[in-house]
Amino acid sequence: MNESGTTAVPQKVRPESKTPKAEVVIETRNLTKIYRDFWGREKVRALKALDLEVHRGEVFGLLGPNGSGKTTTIKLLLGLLFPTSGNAYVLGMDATDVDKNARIGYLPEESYLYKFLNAEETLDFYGRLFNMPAAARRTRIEELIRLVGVDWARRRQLKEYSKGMTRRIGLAQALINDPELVLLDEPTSGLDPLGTRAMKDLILRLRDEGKTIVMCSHLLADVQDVCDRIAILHQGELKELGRVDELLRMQDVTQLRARGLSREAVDDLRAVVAKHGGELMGIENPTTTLEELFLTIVQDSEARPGRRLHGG
Amino acid sequence: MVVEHDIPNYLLWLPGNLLIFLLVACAVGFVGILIGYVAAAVRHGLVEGFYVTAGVIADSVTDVARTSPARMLTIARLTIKESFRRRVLVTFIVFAACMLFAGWFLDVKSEHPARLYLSFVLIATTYSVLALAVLLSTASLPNDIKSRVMYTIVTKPVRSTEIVAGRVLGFTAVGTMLLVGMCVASYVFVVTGVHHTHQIDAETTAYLNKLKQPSSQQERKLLIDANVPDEELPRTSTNSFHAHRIRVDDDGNVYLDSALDHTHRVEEKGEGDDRTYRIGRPTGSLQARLPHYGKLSFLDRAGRPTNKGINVGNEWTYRTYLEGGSLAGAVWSFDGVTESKYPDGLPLELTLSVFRTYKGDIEKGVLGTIVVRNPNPDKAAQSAPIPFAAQEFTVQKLLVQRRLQVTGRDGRLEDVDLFEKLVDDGRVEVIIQCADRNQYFGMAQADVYLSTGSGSFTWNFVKGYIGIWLQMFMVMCFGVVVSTFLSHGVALLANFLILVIGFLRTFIVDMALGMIQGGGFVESGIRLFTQQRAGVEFEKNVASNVIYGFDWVVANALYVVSWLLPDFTAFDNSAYVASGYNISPHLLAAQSTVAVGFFLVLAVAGYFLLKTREIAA
Repeated sequence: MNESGTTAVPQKVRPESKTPKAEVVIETRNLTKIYRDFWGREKVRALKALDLEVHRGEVFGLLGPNGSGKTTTIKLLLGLLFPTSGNAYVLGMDATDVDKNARIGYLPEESYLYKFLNAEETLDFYGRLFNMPAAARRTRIEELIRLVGVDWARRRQLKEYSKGMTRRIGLAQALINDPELVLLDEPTSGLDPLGTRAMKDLILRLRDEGKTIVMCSHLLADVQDVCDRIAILHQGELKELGRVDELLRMQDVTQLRARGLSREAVDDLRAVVAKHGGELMGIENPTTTLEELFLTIVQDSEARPGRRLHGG
Repeated sequence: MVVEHDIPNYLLWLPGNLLIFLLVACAVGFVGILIGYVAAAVRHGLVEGFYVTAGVIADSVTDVARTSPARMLTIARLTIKESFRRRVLVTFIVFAACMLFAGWFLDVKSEHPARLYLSFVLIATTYSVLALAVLLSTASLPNDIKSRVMYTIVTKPVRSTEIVAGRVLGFTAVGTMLLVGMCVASYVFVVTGVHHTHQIDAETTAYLNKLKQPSSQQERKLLIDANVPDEELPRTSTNSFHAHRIRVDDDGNVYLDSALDHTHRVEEKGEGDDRTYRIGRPTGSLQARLPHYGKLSFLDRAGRPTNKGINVGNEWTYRTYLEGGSLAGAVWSFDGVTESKYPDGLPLELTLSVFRTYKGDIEKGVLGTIVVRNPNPDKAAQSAPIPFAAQEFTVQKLLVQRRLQVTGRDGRLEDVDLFEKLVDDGRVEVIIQCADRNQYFGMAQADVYLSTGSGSFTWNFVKGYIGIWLQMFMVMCFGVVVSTFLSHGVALLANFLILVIGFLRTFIVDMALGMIQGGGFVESGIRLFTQQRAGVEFEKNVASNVIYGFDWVVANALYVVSWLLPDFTAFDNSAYVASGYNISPHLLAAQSTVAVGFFLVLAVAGYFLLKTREIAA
């Protein structure tokens, strides 16, 4: 507990971004998507003038409540939707360019796979779509089946798989081409705690291998655990963008952590802390949880639409 | 009969039709680009819309150039696997069951059993395969989009060309496998169905042995004479609901009369009174006649050359008619008639239509004459008329002997050799006239030809199935294309309508051109319910104008659509196979070319429709 009674959340040490001028892997400029009805009338303005940059080697999280535009953003980046206005570039190519797909992997929100295929056939099919040579394909399939832990069920049709197992095969298909950029839509959805942990470890491992990961999730703890930077969307607008550790820093609360103070000063502090039965560790700005930040932004946004809380 | 339209030479057919294809393809392409531009302009504005449209067209060049056959085959493999795991083989099982129980509904006493069996299997195959093609081809893409599996496909480096062509290829492979199975099963069904034999009993065997003795020459002649009373002729045993009359020729060889479109070879064993006769398997029922067609021109009732005969009214307009008892005639000019090809004379086969203005003796055929003429005017030689009685509803065989009588310069008849006097450099003319006054012969190009024997029935059977395969291929192309932009149910309905309009194309064209009595949809409906005669026009008023106007719009809209769709009946070769005619390679080549043309246009359309579709919308 700190002075104001707020719990100080222990922070994982994240590596600093590779370089301030890291290569931009994803860039959106004024990206807007409006869904229209059959007669061309505006139905929903799903995304409003999104400006975003994702750099090589980072884990980037898209956060937002239902209908905030995060899945629309992912779909626009994949070319599954066409922008109403603005542009989206992925790996330096237009988002609708098929050639970019050779270097990306995509795990959809749910594992949309052919249920009549088994695990091996599924991965073989997607491997063939990348024109992978047969030997390389076989090796990669073996690696991935072991990686996602479905070795024991590799010959069973996917219709017999549980949701968690299907998610694992979905992840395997997203990685079949050893992609530079991985887009994960709700990656831990449907996974048990062990599977969730494994997925998060895998994301960090991919990041360590130099891959760029863009994920969107409702599970804020997951995002907090793995993401370097996040963007928070609400009602199609970008509300927050920045490094997770910076965004979570609480400006109105002081946490004291000190070294080298004089004995008298330390004694005074100790006396104060001891009076309350604790140990003085330092004086600094503690962080809140991502969940709290997220809820605050959403509530504030609903109260005052159109206003951005902080600079990106 | 079977060939009721001209079969042009493929190389002559190709240029004109290629031009029409290019014009229609360009028109469709232009309309497609225009629609695309309008859609882009609505979304992005006039200028930006232009660039978007141009960008899509430019991308298409890259996409086509960089289409990967390997990815296309991957999609095709998936389609095959998907189809078989969706139990597509049920179609084959239903088909096989139909054949197993065919005896319940096929007329086993038919006059033309081979034709009946062949028609049955070909029609059953056509309906089964086309139904399967409609259902199968429209299901895959909409289901992939609905189930969102498409998300994981289009986010791989897969181009729309590969998806469309891969799907078509896969479905075609599935259809082909089923069709091969049906073809083999049908072939076995037909061959075993027509197979039978007969026996000659001991009494008839003794009688035949007696006839073969040299002393029985006169009696043998009587047996050959067509006027011998039926009951006096020896017969085989009755099997498969028929028996054959037995005859013995001048040389003492035993042969059987044709019955139910076939005869049998008779093998003899032993000598003298111990000689026995064994009847072999049927011949002539399963054949692929190879007609040598000539060019047809006409003579009017005064004997002057004209380009067609007369119209006898509301008759099948394919044929024109020759007035009996006049100089009207149909002149067939044959090329390439050589002695080595036809050593015994001209083996003519006729499928004449007879139009009777009075009933006469219905058992006797209407009389006609055949004249063989040298086409070289300098030689001016023609045979004396050879009389014959026309046999309707069947293929009539007439052999014009090599020795013919020709009127000499002195007016006397002299015996000449066909190839010496009447054939000029391989060319010969055959003139057919109707001899009975007030009766008419109907003639068309393919009605008279020289028989050059029979080709392989098996290969002809396969060619019949190739026609079905082409129909299936086009239905699958249409199915895949409509499913790129429609949901499953709507795509299914659209593909079914395409099939129906394709089969009714001739009717629709006739209706749009006002050649169908009774008017269009609304007019004919009103006439049906109010029981008004088709020949009486509606009273002129606003309501009738609206009705006529509506029907005009619908008929012409259908007319335009019918130009964009294939005439599926033009791919139906079943009548050739069933009636025992070889399917011309020219016809098959033309049909294949049309199918390839449709595939190309549909592949392009499917590519643009899928590429410009928001998969996740």
